[in-house]
Amino acid sequence: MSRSKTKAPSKGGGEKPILQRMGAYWQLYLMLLVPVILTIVYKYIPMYGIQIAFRDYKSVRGMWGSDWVGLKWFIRFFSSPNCVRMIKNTILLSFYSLLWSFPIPIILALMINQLRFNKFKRTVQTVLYAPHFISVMVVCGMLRVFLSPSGGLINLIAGTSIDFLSEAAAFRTIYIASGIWQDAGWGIIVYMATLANIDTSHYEAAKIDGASMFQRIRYIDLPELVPQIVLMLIMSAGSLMNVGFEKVFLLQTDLNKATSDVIAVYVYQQGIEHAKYSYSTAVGLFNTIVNVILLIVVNKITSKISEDVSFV
Amino acid sequence: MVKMWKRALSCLLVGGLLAAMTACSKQEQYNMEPGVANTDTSQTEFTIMGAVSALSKGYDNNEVLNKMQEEAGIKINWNVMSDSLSEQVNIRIAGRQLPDAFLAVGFNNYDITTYGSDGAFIDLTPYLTEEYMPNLTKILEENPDIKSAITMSDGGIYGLPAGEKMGTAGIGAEEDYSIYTIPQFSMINKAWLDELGMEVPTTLDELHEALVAFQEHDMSATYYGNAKGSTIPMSTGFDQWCWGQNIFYAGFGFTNWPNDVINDLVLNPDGKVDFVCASDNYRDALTYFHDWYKEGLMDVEMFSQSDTQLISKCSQGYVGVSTWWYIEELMGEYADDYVFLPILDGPDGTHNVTVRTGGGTNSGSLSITSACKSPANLLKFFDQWYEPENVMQLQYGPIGTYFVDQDENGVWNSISDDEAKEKFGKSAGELKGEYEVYGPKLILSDYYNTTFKMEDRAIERLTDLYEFWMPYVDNPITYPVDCVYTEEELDVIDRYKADFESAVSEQEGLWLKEGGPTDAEWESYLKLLKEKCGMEELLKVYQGAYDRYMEAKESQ
Repeated sequence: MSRSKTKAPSKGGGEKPILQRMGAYWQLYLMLLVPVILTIVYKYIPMYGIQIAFRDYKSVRGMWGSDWVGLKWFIRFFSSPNCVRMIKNTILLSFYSLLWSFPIPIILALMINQLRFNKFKRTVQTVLYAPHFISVMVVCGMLRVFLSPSGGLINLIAGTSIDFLSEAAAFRTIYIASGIWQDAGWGIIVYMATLANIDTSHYEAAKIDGASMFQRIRYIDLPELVPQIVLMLIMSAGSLMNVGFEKVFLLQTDLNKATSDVIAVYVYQQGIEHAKYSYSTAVGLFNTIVNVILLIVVNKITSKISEDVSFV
Repeated sequence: MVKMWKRALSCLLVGGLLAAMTACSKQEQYNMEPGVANTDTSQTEFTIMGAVSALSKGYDNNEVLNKMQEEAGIKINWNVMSDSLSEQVNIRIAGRQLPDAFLAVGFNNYDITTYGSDGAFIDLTPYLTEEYMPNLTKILEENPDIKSAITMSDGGIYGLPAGEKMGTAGIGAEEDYSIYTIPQFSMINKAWLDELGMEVPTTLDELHEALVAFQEHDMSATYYGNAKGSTIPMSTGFDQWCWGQNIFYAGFGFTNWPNDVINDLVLNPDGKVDFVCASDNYRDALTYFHDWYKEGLMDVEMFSQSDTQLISKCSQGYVGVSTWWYIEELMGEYADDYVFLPILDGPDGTHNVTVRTGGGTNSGSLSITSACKSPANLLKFFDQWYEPENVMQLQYGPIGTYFVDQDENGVWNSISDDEAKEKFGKSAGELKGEYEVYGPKLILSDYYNTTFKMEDRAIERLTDLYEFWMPYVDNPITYPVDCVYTEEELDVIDRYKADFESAVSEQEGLWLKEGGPTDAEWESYLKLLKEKCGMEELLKVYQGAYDRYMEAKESQ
């Protein structure tokens, strides 16, 4: 982001030297300096830490004193018994999450936008996004209660006694459905804001031309939303591999590992619980690399749809 | 122009990087030569990071500790927590923000050796003399086994010994079996059996009949008047320490105690170690118990429930058969209806309880770090922990609070439950939880005869253990917890152990729940253990360490 901003002035004029042009707007550049410095301090400087993925990190010898071991930790990861399963689960879990939970806020926003009674509209919105403020820890506690085979809500309704948390087949559904319940309402905010900005004369003209409600959504609302949708898609692609660690960690049991074993949890267990810093950094780095590749791919694809929101 | 911008930006980046590097200033390390005592005594204020009981009010106002600090002429700033301690400690060590000492973090020999060899923890051998630690030195002289247990493979001692030798010797038995020897006591509702006109089962098949009868007659509803269909014939956790299903495997010739040295390691009478999880007995057991699970005799929730969930089910009278440390705590007001379920014969008439490792000495409860300037001062304080009356007060509570009077031999009697409730409004157990200080406490078996009387609950459990359970045990030897590994061996363990354990427990659960294993599944499971989880390498390591351990023991 910052790069494209800093480029902007040079595109504009071209005659005056850059320092002069900068001097004219020095207040703006001063303001820009704040986010640039923050980004460097919090995002770039800590990156020097990833070198321990290539070292055998010993705390007493420190970052610079530990021995280089090359790709040892990466090789260990790829030869660990559950490596393939973890990569597969991570990708599938995030892919399905995206597939199911991405369109729902858009549909909700389009529907709510049709509500004409303002008070009702606002109430619906509030009700929908309230679950977003519940912490993951509490949500997982609630899920455990709802899914319990002894008197859990779901089993009572279905008249069964299935221990969903020890069913590998149910894990992704639990994860994704609870994610939708929690965050769909929050996701509509951006879309609602865009829809609110649409010039009402469009609707009036469409109505006069005899367009139905669906035609109005199809030909007015949707095209206006496309840039937002693409932007949101790219942003979600950026965190595709970072599945909600806490939720997986809190809902994992021995028996649903077949689908719940993901890289993020493994990194936590190896790094924080077993204190294998080099190893878990290597695994985390691998995760990030896959993520960056996915981001670039999605960005390339989406830039074809909407030119003005592409990043790289 | 654009180029210049880029240059400026990269200068800024590099500058920032450099600043960051120099900013992580090195913490001062008072590292000393190994084998030579550091005579500096200038530091009198120390920071100790460690564990505290969730019920405790902390160590700041602990009268026993404060008195000992005064005696040693030092002051300690306690940085203690009961939650997520090991994560916090790992982060502190990784970031080299070391306190002066770590207390009761629960380091195993692997951690200690690693941190000792890389210099985070100091070697305590030069301080184990009359001059610095008279109490401990005396104990170590009298008990060479304790000394060898805390000496790591490189000859260094990086942690002070801790251990509670609470065993059957304390109740006057000839053999000294640790109280942890059999963690799971299984129990059955005798009142239900009587109502149905059945005997207490002696074989697994008879237990099966009893469970079926419990279910058919919905005993929880018909006998205790609970809701219809609330009976759970048998409820346990899965691979849990004192509340797992593992004791029932004894009918197949083994018990795989969880949280052991490694979950499924057994020591055969001939001194060879083996993994039960790769044996045919293990396969037979899982096949057998899957039928129970399928018939609904074992709780469907066994794989995901917590211990509090189990207690709540049991104390409401829903459960016919379960396992726990002892009956009262689990069954609550229904406790009188339950009796111990004997070790049951398997389908081919055999049974064998492989006992659990326990009661060893560990050295992971106190380590002094290289950040400590005057270890001698700190060790003077910790030497007092090895006086019998001090350790008694640290373990239970101060004299005058937890210990009320002495008998004619000068042995302290602890407060009774009733007295505690009257005086402090809480049970003796809660009182202990409030006052207990975690750390390097060494309670030798003769303390129970000379210094303080063993708790009533412990006496009861040890008596049950000795009289009811031990007769079922053919071979009471266990893999020693205090085995010492070389650095290469530790590397192998570090590499494979976690993956091995998780592969085994996952498969065990799946087979119990879903049935199997078929021949093909069994083969591919064995292949996974051998090729990916390093089964053979692990066996070699554990065998080697054990052989050396025995050699050292014999040469003493």
